[in-house]
Amino acid sequence: MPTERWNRLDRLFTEAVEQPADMRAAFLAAACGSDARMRDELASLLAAAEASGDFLSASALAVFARQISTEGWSVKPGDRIGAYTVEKRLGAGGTGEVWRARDHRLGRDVAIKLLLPHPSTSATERVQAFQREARAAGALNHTNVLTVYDIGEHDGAPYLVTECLDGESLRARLASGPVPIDMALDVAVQVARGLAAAHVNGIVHRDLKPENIFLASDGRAKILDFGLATLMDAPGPEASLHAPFGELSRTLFAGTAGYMAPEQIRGEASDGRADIFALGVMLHEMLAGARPFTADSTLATLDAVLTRKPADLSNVSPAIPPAVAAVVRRCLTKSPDDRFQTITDVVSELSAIVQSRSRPPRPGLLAILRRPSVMVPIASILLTVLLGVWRWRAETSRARWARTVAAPEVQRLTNHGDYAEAFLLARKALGALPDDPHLQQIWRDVSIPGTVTTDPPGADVEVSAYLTETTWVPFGRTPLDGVGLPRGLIRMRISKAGFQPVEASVSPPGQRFNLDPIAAAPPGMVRVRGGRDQVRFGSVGDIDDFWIDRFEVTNREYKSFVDRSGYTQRAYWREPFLDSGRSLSWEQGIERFRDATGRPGPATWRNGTYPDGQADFPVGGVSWYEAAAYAAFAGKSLPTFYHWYRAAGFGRFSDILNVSNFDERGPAAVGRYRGLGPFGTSDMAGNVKEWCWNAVPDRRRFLLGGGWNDAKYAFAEYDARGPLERAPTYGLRLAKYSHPVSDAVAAPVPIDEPRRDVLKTRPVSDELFDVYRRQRAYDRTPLHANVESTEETAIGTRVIVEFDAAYGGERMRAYLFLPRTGTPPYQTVVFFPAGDAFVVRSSRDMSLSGLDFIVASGRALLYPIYKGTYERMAAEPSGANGERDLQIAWSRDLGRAIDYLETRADIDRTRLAFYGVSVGADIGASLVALEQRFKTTILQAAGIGGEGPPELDSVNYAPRVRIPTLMLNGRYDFTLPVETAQRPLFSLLGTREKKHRLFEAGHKLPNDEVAAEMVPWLDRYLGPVVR
Amino acid sequence: MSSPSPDQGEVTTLLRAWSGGDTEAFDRVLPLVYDELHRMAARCLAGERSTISLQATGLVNELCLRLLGWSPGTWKNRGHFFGVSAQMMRRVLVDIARRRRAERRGGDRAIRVPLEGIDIAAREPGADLLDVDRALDLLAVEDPRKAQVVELRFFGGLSIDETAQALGVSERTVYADWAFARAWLYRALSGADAD
Repeated sequence: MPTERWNRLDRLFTEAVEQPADMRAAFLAAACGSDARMRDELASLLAAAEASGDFLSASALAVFARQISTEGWSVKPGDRIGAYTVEKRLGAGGTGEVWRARDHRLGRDVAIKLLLPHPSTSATERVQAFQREARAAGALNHTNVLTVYDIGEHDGAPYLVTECLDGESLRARLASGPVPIDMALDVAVQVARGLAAAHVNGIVHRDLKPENIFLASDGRAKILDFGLATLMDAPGPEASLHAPFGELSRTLFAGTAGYMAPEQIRGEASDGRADIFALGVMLHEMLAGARPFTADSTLATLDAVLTRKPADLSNVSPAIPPAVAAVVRRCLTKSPDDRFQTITDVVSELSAIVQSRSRPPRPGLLAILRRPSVMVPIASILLTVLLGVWRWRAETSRARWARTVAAPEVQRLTNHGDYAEAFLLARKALGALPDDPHLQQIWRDVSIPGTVTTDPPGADVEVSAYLTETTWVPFGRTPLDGVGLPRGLIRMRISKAGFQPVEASVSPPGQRFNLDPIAAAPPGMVRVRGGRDQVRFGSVGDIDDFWIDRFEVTNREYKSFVDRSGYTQRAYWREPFLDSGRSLSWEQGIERFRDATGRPGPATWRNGTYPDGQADFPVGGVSWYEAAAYAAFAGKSLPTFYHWYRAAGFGRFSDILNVSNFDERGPAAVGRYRGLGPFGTSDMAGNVKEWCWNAVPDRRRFLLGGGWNDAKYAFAEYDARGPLERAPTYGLRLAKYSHPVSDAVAAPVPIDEPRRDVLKTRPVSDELFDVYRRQRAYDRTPLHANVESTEETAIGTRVIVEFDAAYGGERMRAYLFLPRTGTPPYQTVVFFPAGDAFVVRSSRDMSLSGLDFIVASGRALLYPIYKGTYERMAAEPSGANGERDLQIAWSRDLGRAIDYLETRADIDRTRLAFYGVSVGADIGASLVALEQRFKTTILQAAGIGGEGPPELDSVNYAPRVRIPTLMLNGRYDFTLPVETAQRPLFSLLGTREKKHRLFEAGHKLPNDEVAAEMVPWLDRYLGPVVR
Repeated sequence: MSSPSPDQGEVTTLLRAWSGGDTEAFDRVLPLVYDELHRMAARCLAGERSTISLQATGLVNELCLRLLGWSPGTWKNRGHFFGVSAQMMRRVLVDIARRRRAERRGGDRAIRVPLEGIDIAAREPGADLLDVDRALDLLAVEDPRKAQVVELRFFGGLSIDETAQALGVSERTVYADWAFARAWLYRALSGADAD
């Protein structure tokens, strides 16, 4: 409780503050009178009020926030940035902090450079600078440049994700003194190579120093921190305005002035030769243990760079070859015109020196050894050399395994079609050697980004190979976004405490699972996600989630129905008995349902029970009526045609057929065959055929899934039989719905609506076809082609080229792979990819598996980036018109790509082939019908689709394909059945030189089999390759 | 994501236990609070400097709402809510400042409250947040209401108007209290700083 005195003080203060400043003293005197203490107190308070300015104006939180974020505490270990989990802070530099983080999708460590607020720069500047860095570094793909994986923004702070390296910076290494000569030269050559790659792309580093060179433990030197990099021909006034000022002030702030070239210090235009200067400084420092230009203060150092001569290396140590000293001297000349003009010259010079040094014997060194005065230092030099060599060249055995054993095996498995096995092995290898570009390419070939989510989230996911179950490998915890999934089927196990575990087959693009608490799930049943799919006989709208039996109904289960007098309880038998249209009374009907000894029961039973030892076998020899009655008994329902197909899940992969009971002599215990469905069912393929609710219009009922005595393709075929029939392969499984199904779903399925008979459809007239052709024509404007890069890769010499597209002022890119065998001009195969190209965001991540054999056969491969694929990704077409525009674009893209080929002397323009897969094969017919420059075409996984607008319909194009055509298809392709989709297309093809080759596979064909078929075809129609 | 966060009910229980004097409860909930603060702090600074103060107010309330929940029956009235939020924020920040000082990781770890204003570079001298807290306690002995005003405005980030509402007094009263308290604290702290 404030005292009286206090209150008075308070009151007077308030009044005093309201007085004009010059009146205050008078006021105080009058108010306080003789109370001097009060007057002094007030005076000091007023003075404080005067001085206090913005004291306490910002809230405590703001103060706190500001302070801790400038300290760099905006993330903590365990935080999630994008798809990465941050683990440990590796360091802080001029532009931001670097953290080590984990990329759970690929199971590797990455480095995240987080840009933090710094009081001296504004937000937009920082973001722009950062984006510059990312663009600069991201455009480079070289073993001596830090690989940039990703760029993003986290809570407003931009970040850069790069490879995480094991090793130390050159600065750290230099802290322990000069570096052995061979190592110094090795590092210099590597750095120079990295710079060469940058310069070739028009990127100058501008901030090269030992802090920015990393010595990885696998022996590679990597250039980091393109923070000040500028693109040499980048337009924009802001680049020139801000950059020089930023450079200098940043350097002054960072205190590492000795590496800036004179022209940079003077603020003049600088180019790649500034990097050469910095490299010279570093090489000098590595050899001498000290920089060529040193002084006490930063400014003095800058002065030394501008005016003083560097110390001569030959004077520093006699071991340094004069040639090296000369190179360094030539890098450090003040005028850029006197230096090496290109970094590649530096590479050549240094490489030549390294070469000459590796030739034994080295008389120079021996001569030095004989001089006793240098004995001791030499010993320590040797020791350093030995240690350095050990640290430099050490390779772990895991890394060796990854490269020499795992990688080829992954290749082999992929070519064979064992995608899940290849995937698991590649994952393991990449975990052992995450930086290896070859493995990274392999990873891209075996995986494709997908999503696995659960509701609720936080479930543990394990995976195992599909065809032969391998050990279960931990995969992560949901939600998993952008996770690598194999390009095939894989088994997945989802578990979360308190919930029913799920085991299902998964393929890209992944799946969402709804988890059910253990108590809520009906025993023995699995949840099937509802939705709307394209079922073959039209759609019936959305169906809700429902339950379906995991296994077929077993003998044992059926017996409980029989034992509980199921065959005498009329209430279960709700469907009127009909025999070929004739009604039967209940008593008459039920008489039909007797076992082999005349007792009520399935046809396959004797004496009212099932054969010995077959308790867990699926019940067989039951009629549709019995199946319906059993369903009533069990309180469930026969699945409808649509529900059954939904649960069976026909995707692109037919692996299930290889682990199901087909082509056998009898049924197997349920679940013995490991054919797992996408929702956790077993034996939907094969074992017994399963009765479904729906009738065919003539009152037969559907039997789906095929039985043990059928061939594999029966899985996708439907069967329908009279409801009284009772073959041994007729069985059932049950479903459970949350509410009764709609009439549309329960109604007879209209299967006798004919699929359009394409053979009877007349293609459009030639006049009309000419209109279609003209729609796709384009003017042959100049290409303005520009080669972006040329690099040796595992698949041949990869040339990435960019040229003007034929429309929209766009540019398009194409990848050209040139063979290393054979002599130019090369035969060329032009490729059009499958659906994965439409979901992968960058052509850098393109999969090349299944294409390398083309280049290996001595031919060139052209892979254009068509509109809508990779970086040219666009939204899905809005409808038929959008679809047409896209196809027209493709036609033009293809034309342009060939136009480019024609400009190259190393390509034989008279020997071109078109190769399309899936999507590429579907429009392949139309593309090839219009493009006259191909000699032959290979269409893989193509077929006739449904009817569409005539200008897009294969029916009009296929007859106009007049070049030799090879069609490759899988016999068990669920999406393009042999009879209804593949064969019609084949017969429509206008050429007489055509071949339709069927493989024992689904939509996706094994690479080695395709190669074995395709190479002889190319030899025949393009001609053998000239060696 | 960082370690699994305690669910809503647990947080509320812990915070209530803490206001009741259970310091161990605070230890358990502090990581969560700290988490929130970090996130908010980073967001705070992603924007331009001038909006810091505005954002901070909202953030304090957001934090409290998030952690304690706004449901009828929890709070007597808005004033009560603001009062508790401000108090909580104060105790959290003071606690954090104390721990940072104890950590002794090198460099100046104290949270410094600028004497002149926030827009000057962060490294200029200011009063240590712990000193501000102590001074505020001394003020509270003399005049609890003025200390409360400071607590609401400085730690709670409330405006004059909101403070008036929270305390059930007129704006003029708040204004006068604020002016006086600032002067009094400034005098106390700059005297200490000079030592």
